[in-house]
Amino acid sequence: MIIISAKYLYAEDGATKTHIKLNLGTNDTGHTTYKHIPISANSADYVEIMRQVEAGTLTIQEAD
Amino acid sequence: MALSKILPASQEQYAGARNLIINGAMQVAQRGTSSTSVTAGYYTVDRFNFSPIATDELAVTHSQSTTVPSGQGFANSWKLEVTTAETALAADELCILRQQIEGQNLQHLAYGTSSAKSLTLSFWVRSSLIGKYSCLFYNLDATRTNLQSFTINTADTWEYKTITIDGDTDSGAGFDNDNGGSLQVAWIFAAGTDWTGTPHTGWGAHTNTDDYAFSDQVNFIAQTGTFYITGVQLEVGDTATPFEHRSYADELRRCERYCYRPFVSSSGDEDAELGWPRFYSSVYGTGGTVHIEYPVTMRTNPTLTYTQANGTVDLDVSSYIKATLRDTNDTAFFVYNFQADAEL
Repeated sequence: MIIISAKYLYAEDGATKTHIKLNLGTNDTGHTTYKHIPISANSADYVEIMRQVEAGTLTIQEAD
Repeated sequence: MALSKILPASQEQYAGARNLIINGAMQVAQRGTSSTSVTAGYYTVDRFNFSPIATDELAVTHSQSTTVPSGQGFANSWKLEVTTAETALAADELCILRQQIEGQNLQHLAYGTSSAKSLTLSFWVRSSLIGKYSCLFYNLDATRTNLQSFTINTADTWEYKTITIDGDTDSGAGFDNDNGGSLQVAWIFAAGTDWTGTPHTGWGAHTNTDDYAFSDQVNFIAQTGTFYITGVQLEVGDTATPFEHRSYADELRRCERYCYRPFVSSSGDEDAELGWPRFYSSVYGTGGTVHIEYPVTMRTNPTLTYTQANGTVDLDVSSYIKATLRDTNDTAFFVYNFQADAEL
């Protein structure tokens, strides 16, 4: 999986982080593929993403 | 009127829904039927995780295969084909196939009490490499393991294997009553010296350096070859009963608790079989919302993967019962190539 960029998604209150949104790239028709990873220790994907963050191989933007 | 027969208590284990393994016949493969990935994850048959760890030469194809043991009623197996060998197995390298089971589905085993029940694992296996393979039972909640083995006696020939383990009566061995992964069953293809040592016998506290694999097991990935497995069943008791064949629909529903992929089209274009496999937004305030309901309650709030046309989702209020994707700026967008993943 190639990650173009990563940022947080927030709840409707605008303050609570709910997901990490990964941009996985844009296809020939201009449509972009995304992955939303819930911020939860019960998510294996979240655990893996945070491992990459702690290893310094991935940076998550706060917002656009 | 014919009288019904009541199964005697001694044969209770023959009743339905006795297999703790999901997709043991390798019927369901929502993510795809073939992959060459050498990164740990779920790629082909549902619920089975293929994990090569730290390998640096290995090239493989893992797939849902139609090669099966004759006359057993199976249509599929999981196949691992080594196409480029890991010629020098470093100490930290490991290669396994595994499935994890939720703790709330294991409470009846009474682990951690004097009534802890024994378990029997059975499966059909075929390998091009004869010899000893490790099979690990891992209590992830208690960090306790029970390392067992099986032997391939004849190359490229289906063999039926059974392994019975005692229940774990250690007071700390209880499984958490929740939706987390509590028991892992793993088949070990290769293990470097960081993963082998002097394993304890039966259940005991786990250390990776001693208890993950037997030091005298084969190194399956050291040469090209093929390994197949199907008919995986884990059941209460000390006897392997005939495989519990389930319908495709039944097995699919069980798998969808962990992965939901509502259609196979990855382009979203019109398809003769699927029509237009897209989810269109409905207007919501100044933007639009796409709702995708899951066929079963998912294990947890899943990771969502999708491709979007027209706009950008900036609010995700999804849960474990449905995906709700909002784009607060665009009223008309659609998503396709959707997948919800809540695997262990």
